Amino acid sequence: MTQPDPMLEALRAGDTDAITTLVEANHRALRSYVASLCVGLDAVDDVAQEVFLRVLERLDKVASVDEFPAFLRGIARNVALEWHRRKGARHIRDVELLADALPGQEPSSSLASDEVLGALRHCLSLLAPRARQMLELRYTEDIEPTGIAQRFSMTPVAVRVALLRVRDALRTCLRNSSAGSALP
Amino acid sequence: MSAAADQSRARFDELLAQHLVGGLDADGRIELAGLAAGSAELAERLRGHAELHVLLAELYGAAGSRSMAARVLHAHARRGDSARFIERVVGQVARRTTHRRRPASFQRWWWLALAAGLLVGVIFTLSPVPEASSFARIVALSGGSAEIAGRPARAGDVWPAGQILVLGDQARMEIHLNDGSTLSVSGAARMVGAAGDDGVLLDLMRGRVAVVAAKQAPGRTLSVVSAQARVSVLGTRFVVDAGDDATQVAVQEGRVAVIVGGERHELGAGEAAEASAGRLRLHPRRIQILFGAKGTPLPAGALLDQAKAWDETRGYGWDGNPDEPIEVMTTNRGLMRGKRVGAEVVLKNRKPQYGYVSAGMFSEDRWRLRLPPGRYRVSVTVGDPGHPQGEHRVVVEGVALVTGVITDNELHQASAEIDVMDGELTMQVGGTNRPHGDGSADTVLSELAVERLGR
Repeated sequence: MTQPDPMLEALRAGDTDAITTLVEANHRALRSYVASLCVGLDAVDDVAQEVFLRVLERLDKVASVDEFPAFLRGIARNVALEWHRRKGARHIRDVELLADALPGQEPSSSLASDEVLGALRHCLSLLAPRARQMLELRYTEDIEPTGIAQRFSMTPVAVRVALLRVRDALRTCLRNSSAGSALP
Repeated sequence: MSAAADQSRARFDELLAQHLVGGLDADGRIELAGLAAGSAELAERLRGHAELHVLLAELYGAAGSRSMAARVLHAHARRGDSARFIERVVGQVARRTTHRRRPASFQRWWWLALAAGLLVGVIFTLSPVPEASSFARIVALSGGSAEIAGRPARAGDVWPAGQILVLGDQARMEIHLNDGSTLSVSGAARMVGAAGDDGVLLDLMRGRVAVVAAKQAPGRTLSVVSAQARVSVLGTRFVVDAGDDATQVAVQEGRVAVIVGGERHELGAGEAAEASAGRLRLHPRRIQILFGAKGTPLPAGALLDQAKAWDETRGYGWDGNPDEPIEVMTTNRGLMRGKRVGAEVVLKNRKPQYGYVSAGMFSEDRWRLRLPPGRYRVSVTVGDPGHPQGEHRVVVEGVALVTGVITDNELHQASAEIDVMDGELTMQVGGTNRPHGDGSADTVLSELAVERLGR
C-alpha cells in the first residue's frame, strides 16, 4: 500500500500554505506554457488562475505531487483551447497540434527558482539604454508600440521588431548564464 | 534553409512580434500556432519568447508568484464557498425529486401512477435536463451564443442548478428565476447558480448581471457573489459587474447589502460603489464635466475635459482620430483663441469665462465616460455665447439628445433619462456636415452632467 503524500493531503484539506507552495513552484512554467499556446498575453494570468482552480477541484485525479506538472499542462491545454474558442477562433486544430508539439517542462526547471530573475536582471543591465527603456515602457507602463514609436521617432512595426530582437538578445544572455542554462 | 522555410520563418517572426505586444487577432494567433506546430525550431522559439515574456512581466511588476498565489487562494476560497452552497442545494433538490417520484399508494392508484409515470417519462425525454433540478429558465438570447455545461443554450432552455453558464463576448441573455426574479446577463459572463430553502446564490466568475429581484420571503435572500464582493438583496433592482480586480455594484431600486473583506455595507437606490482589494469605495452620485482648455473656470467638484484621448486611469476621454484633431478652447466671451489638441491656449491678460471643445467637424467623434451600469439623468450643454455655432449633434447611449440645433450667440441644454448597461457612457458628437454660423459644421460642446437615478 502506498503512503499518502503529505503535500497532496494538505492540498485536499485546503491548506493555504500548500496551495501557495503549489502555485509558486509551478506558476512560471504554467504561465509560459499558456503563453506558448498563443493565448493573448493580457489573458495569460487569467487562464493560469483558472487552471490552478480546476486542479484544486480535481485533486482526486492525482496520486502524487510528481504528477502535477503533467496534470497542470493537461488542464492548461483544455483551458487555453476554451479561451481560443471564446475569442472567436474559427478552428483550433492548430493550437491542439502546437500543444502536442511543445516540449515538456521538467519539474526541476530553472523557472521554478528565483535565481532566474537575478540572471534576467543582470542581462537587462547589459542592454543598450534605448533597448532597456523600450522594455520598461512596454512592461512597466503598458505602452503600446504606437506610443513607444512616438517617443523614439520610429514606426510601430520597427518597435515590434526591435522588441523581438531585444528579447532574442536576452534569451541568448540567459542561456549563457548558469541560472538560465535550462532555458531554451 | 530553403526559400519556403525562410518565408515561414519571416512570417512567424512577424506574427510573434505582434503577439508579444498583444496585437494579434484570433486568426493571427491560430496562424502563429500553425507555423509553430509545423516546425520544432519555431515551437521552441515561441516557447522561449513566451517564457521570457512571463519573466519580464514578473520582473517589471505586472505579475508574480505572490500575486498569482494570492489570486488563486482568493478565487479558490470564494469558489469553494459558493460550490458548497450549490452542492448542498443540488443535493436537496435531488432528494426532493426522488421523493416526489415515488407515489404513496401505488397499489390503489396504480392506473393514475402509471399515467403520471408515462407523463414524467415524456417530460424527462423531451427536456435536456430534469425540470426539478432547474432554478431558472432562459427567456431570451441575442447578439451571440451561450453554453450551459458546454452544450449550446437557447431561449426556452432551463438553467439547472450547479451548471456553468457561459456567454459569448457580445451575447445578452434574459433569465427568469423560479422565484420571479429577472436577470439580464452580458459582458461574456460566466456564472453558476442554485436555489435552496435559504434563497438563491449566483456565483459570477466574470461578466455582468443586472438583477430585478422579486420580493424575498422571510429567511430567504438572493445573492450575487464575485471575486471581490457578496451582494445580497434586501429587496430589489441592482447591477453587479465583475472584473478581474474590481466589482462594480449599482443599486437602482431598494437596498442591497454588500460584504467586502468581511465587512457589511448597505447601498440604497441611486448609490454605486466599487469593491476592490478588500475595500468598498462609493462612486459620486453626480458627475459634472466641463469641456475646454486649461484655465476654464470650474465649479466645485467638476472635472475638466481638455479634449484628450481616452485614458484608463482618468476614466473619460475621446477616441482617437488623428486625421481630424479636436479643437479645444477657453474664451472670455467673444474673444476666442485656441489651438489644436495639446497646445496651450493664450488669453492675453483676459480672464477666461467659458470653455468648450469643438468636435465632429468633418465626421462624428466619440467620447466615453466610465460609469457603473444604471439609470442616469444626462444633461448636455452645447453652443457658444460669443458666436453662432452648429449644427450641433449629440447622441448619448444611442439617444439623440441634441439634433438639428443651431445656436446664435447662446447656449443650448438638453437632458434625458438614459440607461447605461455596459459600464461606459458613450457620446457621439458632431458629424452633421451641415455648416452654420462661422462656416464650420462642428458641434461645440460645453458641459455634461450625469446624475444617477434611484427610486
